[in-house]
Amino acid sequence: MHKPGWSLRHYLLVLLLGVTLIPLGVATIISVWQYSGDIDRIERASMKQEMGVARLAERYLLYALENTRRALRSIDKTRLTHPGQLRGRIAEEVHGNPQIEAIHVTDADGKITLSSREGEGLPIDDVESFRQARHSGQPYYTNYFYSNLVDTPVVALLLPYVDRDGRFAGVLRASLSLEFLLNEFTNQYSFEERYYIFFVDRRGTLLAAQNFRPGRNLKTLPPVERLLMGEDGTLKYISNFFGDRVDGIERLGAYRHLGEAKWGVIVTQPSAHVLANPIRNLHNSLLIILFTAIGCFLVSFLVANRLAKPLDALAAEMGERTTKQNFAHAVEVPITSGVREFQVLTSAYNTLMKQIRQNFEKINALNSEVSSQNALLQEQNEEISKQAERIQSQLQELDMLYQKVNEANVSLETQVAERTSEVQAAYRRLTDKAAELEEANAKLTELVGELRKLDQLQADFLANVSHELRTPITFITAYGSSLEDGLLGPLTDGQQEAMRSIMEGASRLTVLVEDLLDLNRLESGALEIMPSPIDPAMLIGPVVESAKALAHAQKQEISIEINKGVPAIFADYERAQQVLRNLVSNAIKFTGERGSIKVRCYQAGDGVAVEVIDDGIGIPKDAQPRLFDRFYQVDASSTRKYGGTGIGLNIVKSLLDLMGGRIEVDSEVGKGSTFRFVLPASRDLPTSAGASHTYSPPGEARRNRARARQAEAAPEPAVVAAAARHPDILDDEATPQNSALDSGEELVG
Amino acid sequence: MRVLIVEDEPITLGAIKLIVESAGHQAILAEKSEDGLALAKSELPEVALVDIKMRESAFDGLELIRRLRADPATEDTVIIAHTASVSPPSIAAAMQAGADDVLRKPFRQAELIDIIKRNLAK
Repeated sequence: MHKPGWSLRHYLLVLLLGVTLIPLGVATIISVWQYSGDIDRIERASMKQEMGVARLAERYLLYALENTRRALRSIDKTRLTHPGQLRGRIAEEVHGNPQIEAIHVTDADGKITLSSREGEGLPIDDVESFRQARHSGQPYYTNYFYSNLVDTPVVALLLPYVDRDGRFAGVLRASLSLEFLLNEFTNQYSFEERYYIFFVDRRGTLLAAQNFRPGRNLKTLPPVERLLMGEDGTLKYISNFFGDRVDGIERLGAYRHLGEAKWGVIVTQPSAHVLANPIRNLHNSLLIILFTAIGCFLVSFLVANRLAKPLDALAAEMGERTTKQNFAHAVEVPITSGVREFQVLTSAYNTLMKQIRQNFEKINALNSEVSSQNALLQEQNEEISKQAERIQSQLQELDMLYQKVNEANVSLETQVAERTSEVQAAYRRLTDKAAELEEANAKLTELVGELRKLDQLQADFLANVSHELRTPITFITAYGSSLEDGLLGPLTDGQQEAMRSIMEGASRLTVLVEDLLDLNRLESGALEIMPSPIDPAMLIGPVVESAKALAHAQKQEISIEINKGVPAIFADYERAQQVLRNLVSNAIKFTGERGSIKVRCYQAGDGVAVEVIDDGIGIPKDAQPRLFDRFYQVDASSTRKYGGTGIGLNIVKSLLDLMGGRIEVDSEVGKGSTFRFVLPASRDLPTSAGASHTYSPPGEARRNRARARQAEAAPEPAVVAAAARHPDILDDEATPQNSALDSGEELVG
Repeated sequence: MRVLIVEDEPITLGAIKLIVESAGHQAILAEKSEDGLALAKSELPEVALVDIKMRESAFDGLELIRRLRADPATEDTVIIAHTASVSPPSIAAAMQAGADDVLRKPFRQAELIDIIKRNLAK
């Protein structure tokens, strides 16, 4: 809200008035000051003039008095010389001096002896003056007295005279009319329009005045006061004519004593007369100033108004808007002021207000939206409250449940506490055990480490050993075969026999080395199985073919029986052959002369079964479970007879396991044995050589190299000879037994 | 034919020499791979029998085979690798190095003669 204060109009007014009135004020002050100065000057000048007039009056009167004295002396002289002409002389003097009204001659007692008028024989009417004159012997000017002789107030000059003896003999009195003198005086100088001149006696009694009867005492009149105090001068005083201050006007007066008579003359005029001009000037100035001031007032008022009014309108409008906040009703304030700043202000305000109004309208729109939203929220709130109530009741139920649970809890807690202590005890025991276990573990880890080392050593050992074993076997075989084949000349029968034995030895050694290596690989998991679809005939045929020689040497029959429609076997070709070879070899070994061995093949579920059936010595029941164990031999003595290390069947089982197959044995001592192994059937058909291994025929590599050189390019086509399938090419798995069989065949011849 | 024999075991080397000469070929012997390489370049044999292992040589038999193949002078030599290990990966490695064929140890003399005969026939 606004603080109470003046409006701009007031300020402007004050300002303008100040601006204008101050100089006016100053002018006024100067005028007045000048005026008072003027007044002073004028008054003083006037009073000086009056004094001049008074002096003039004095001289005039003194001249008259001088004449009067001269007249009286002349009369006195006449008295002395021509006493008879005295009356005539008196009449002349009275006639010749208009100021003398009457002359009286007295004797020494004061009796009038001679008079120009009446009174002869009467005592003088002013005894006091007579005495004074008699006493002083000098001319004596009386004060005003009432003469009963002439029936008018008079003032007189007494001239005492003496007889021949020089003794006082009476007075010569001339009663004077000062009025006449005064009239004469004022007429002569035309003072009556300006000055008021009057004479007073030594007591202050009026002797003569214009238009006024003498006789009144004027000692209260300030100039008369001063005269009575013996002063001459001028003064400013207030009084009416009678000496009262009431109803008095200000007068300027000059007062003088008149010669010997010590009467007074007063010249006075109202100060107003004198000051008329200055006063009028002052009045004029003040009037001008006043009118100017009024003019300034008006102009200030108008200007202030003119300046302030547009601002008023703006202020009123702004006030209206901001106090009541009704921006929607903002009106445009018209620009009525000529002042540029106000114009700018007004138009800016208009612009702002317009903006505010627009914003206001926007806000209003938003507000109504918000209200409707609020209404929605309100509904939702109520919903929520209801929900809350529902929840509340549920909570109460929960509370009750909670209490029950608490009670249960309490009892549980006690139980738990008991259990906890038990558990803690158990835990302590456990931690002790754990510590023990950790120790054991540490030891185990040590052992494992050592075992690993041993393993590694074993592997290295085996690798080394196998190589070392192979080397002598190699040259034994090379030289042996050379000898056997007659490269160093023909052999005798005995030599041939010896060679066969040597070769048999080499062969067995080779088998052993291969078995050991296989064992090693199986154990270390290094043995690779590369299965592919195998035609059963291709698997069984070559093995049986190779075995035929040895079998016939023992007069045994060996035959194959493959069922029609038997699917391909999914297995590693070499290893499967190795398995079969081992079993067939065993069958031949453990079957006597004229025995028979049959190899059968049929589908078994989703696998293919291969059976090697012999009618040999059979295997005891208690030996059968351990048959496939490493180094297990049914009969230690049979080793000497039949040979073998007990490794074969172990390898067979391991290989079958790796290929996803299994092996079983049916056997009865004396009745023969049936070894059956089952391998998975292949979904695919077998490839032409019974193996899907890519085989490189001899010379292919050479041709490929030529092609490559021509093409400048690539490495030789990937000739992945996974297995040399050519029967002449010896491989590490199958051929030891082949060799054995071969050599067996040779031995048999 | 001149047959270069590269074999680190001296006795075996002698055996092979016997067999090769019995077959009427001329035997050139090398107990070390680097000797074998030099002899191959100087003698230009038709056949080279290379032991894969070749311990104590500057490089092994496979490397020798590669170098023989790489050299235009010797690239047409019939190279037969011989090794105790004839697992499919070993065979593949030998063939990839450039061998024409692989012979397994131990071998009978007939097998050696045969493999040479076969590879010369191509």
